[in-house]
Amino acid sequence: MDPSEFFADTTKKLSGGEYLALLMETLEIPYLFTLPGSQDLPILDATPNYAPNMRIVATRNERVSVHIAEGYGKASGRIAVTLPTLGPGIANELPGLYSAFLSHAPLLSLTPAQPPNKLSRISEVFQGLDPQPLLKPITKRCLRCETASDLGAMFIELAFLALADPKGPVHLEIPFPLLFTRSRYPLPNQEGIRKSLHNKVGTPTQGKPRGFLVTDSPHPESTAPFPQRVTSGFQLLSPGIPEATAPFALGVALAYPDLPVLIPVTQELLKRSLDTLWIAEELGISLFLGYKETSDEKRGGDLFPWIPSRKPLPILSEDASLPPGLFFIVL
Amino acid sequence: MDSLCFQSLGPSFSYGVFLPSSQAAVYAAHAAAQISGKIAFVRISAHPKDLLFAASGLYIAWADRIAVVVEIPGDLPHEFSTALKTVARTVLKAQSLPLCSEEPLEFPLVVTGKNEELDAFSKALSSWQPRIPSNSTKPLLPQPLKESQQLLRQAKKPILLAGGGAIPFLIPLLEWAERSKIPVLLTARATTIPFPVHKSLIARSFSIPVVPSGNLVGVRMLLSADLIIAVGSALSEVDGFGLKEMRPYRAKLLHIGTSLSEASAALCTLHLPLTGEEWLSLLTGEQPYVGASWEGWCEKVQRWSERWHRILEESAAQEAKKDFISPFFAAYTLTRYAPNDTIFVSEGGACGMQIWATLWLKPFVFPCQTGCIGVTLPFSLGVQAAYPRNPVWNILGDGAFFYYPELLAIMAEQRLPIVTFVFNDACYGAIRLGQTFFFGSRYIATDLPSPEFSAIAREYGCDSYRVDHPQELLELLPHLRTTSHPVVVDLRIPKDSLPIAGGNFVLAEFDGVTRTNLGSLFKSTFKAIFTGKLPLNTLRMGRKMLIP
Repeated sequence: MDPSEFFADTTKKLSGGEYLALLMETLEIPYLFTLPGSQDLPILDATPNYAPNMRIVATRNERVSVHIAEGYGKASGRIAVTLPTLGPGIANELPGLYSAFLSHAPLLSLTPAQPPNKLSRISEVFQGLDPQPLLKPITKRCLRCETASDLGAMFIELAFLALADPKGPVHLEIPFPLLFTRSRYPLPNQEGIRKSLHNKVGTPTQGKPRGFLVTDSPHPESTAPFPQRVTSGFQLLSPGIPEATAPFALGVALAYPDLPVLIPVTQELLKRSLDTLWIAEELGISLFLGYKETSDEKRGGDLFPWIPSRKPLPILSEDASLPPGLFFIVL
Repeated sequence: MDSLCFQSLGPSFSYGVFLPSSQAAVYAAHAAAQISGKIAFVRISAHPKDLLFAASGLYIAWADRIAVVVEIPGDLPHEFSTALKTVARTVLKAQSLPLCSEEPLEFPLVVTGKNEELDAFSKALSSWQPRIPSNSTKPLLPQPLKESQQLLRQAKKPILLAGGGAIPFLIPLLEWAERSKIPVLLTARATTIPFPVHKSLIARSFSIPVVPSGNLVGVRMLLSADLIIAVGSALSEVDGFGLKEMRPYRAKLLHIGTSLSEASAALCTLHLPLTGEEWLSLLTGEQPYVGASWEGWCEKVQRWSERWHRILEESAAQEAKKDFISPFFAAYTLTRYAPNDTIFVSEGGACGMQIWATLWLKPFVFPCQTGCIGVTLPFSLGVQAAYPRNPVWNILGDGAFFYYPELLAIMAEQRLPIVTFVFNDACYGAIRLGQTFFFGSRYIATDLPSPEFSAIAREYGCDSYRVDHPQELLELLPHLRTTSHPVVVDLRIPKDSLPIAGGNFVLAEFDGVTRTNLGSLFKSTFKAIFTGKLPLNTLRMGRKMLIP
């Protein structure tokens, strides 16, 4: 594939942030998961005008951003984008990218980078880090954009690479001054890109499942907490690493908001996943948390008195017309 | 960091604290090493997942050159070995500890080997005292020495900038500065000095100003000085060096240290590749370079320090009368009312900037070179392990709370008397400032509706409080001073506060885009002022300090 064929001869003067937002709109990126940093503000600021159909989800942990994108990509076969800041932001994403690499989930991670004139003193630069050696083992490809003229082609190339079998995460670094400054960019050929994109994105499920069962392991015994009659017809999905389970499930739920997503949980998992559950509440996404009660542990629902819409349910009924919220199913 | 830093590290110790991820374990070790001045060891598995979690934590230690050793049983896959070299200053096998080598070890360090080899390695490292690399085989040429003496004689307003590399010999260095009547400014890294050195510093009670980084006194010193004598500093951007768009100092720069990069050496008027001790020994026999030319300079800096403290006190008194808690008031009150031996832990973000403004030479752990978030709770466990008898007070923002909330359960299980203040303004305050100053106050993805942190803390077994008014905070403090149980305090503060300090972090963050976006900057700033987005009291405090 030659990415340059996806760009028209006409150009427009835009900031790098605006251009990236335009590219994300062209690729019909549905979600941008981010813990914002100062250097990526131009991208965020551009989204209302240039990517109005993309929803920005602010997470509380960069790794969780990637896990959610992993779940979304694995369930839907489409890519979401994560946007950590440079330095500590991309460092925090590393285990998440590894998880997506293992589970072959397509996603695109964008990071602002230090400009080339700072690389000789990277140790003394604030938030200085060259992440390329760290990203190489855990991404399909990681690229660093040096000039404005490379940006569009690199972005499209990486997006398509993420979707090519075997799917997986890709990463693009952009020197952050490029995001702030205005340059002439070639406009993307929206129709051509979308046509190629639709050809690339397959449907990962064989027919539409009744729902999804997300476990920390693909082995059948990990689904044990849920009765067979409840999960029959559900598709089993697992993230690359167990730490990703809850946010991965949220990503699956974002991909299929009309289907139930079940997760067997332990108290340990719940305590680690507070931010994910809170984001699910914010987004109005339903998750069904199957909790096996023991006598010396609190009921799942009591762990989160602060979640207003929690409802313990004895069993998941066939009629899933329930208002959105977190549901604790005591098993 | 000057290689001398290792000399000050005495017996090391490792921890029996088990944390939920290797990232959290590395963070805890980082804080323990930073506050104690000793080496901290972390043992993780060689599984790629653990390596990557550890790498994400090790990056923060790498940036601040902290003495953390990550031990990995087994061999590293080649691609991960290359990856770890990005975030560790030394990667070696346990068998190859250079016990007799004159080469210094640089930290953080990753070591691999069998378990028994790692045990032997950590034992050997604990008692290893390296020979100090000296310049004795390459004596300093007389010309550079003469030039440095010339610079000192010509100066009228010199300052001594003490960096992280100067920590091992900080007291003798300050004694020289005191004899020479040269005021001292600590770099960001040196401001977070180990607790034992801090105790010596306070006990010694110098007659010259010793000014920590991150406040407007330091800004005035940098702007006014005509000579900066930088000892043991890597000349990082956080301290104002190497910025591409501005140079927040006009002075000549005399640097003393052995491990300065070429690019950093190019910033110096003169670089002397001496260890700090070598340089001190060269100067000890000399008369102090105090001439009539800089008489009165030290007193002037002292008056600035006193004025700064007065401004803080007056402003806090005004803020106490308001019906909401301002983050400045909260930061000032905590740092003044905490028990004397409290160790403070904080992280990047708006709350961290507030603490830099109000903390003055108190034990403090902070990720200086990265200004990152999400480290405070694991840091505090490391600090507590290093100093179990000292109170530990955490300051973190609501945006960082969800990185490691499960550590509150560990604090409760072990009954660790750690007090955590959550500065809850329901937004990513520092990032939001960027949107205020550059993007016309268009706030996207920075609002953070949050749950009741006090309720979460209770579920984890901690005591907890929610505080909405200044008087409530003042009434709570006596209990917090004597608590024997972990406490979380959810401080409700308004959005859009403007920290009076922390400008050094902001300058470094936006270096490269400020000049090219001056139009947006001015337009957005004026809009913010006229629409009341920026609290004017902060601007008034700054004016009082910088414009007499």
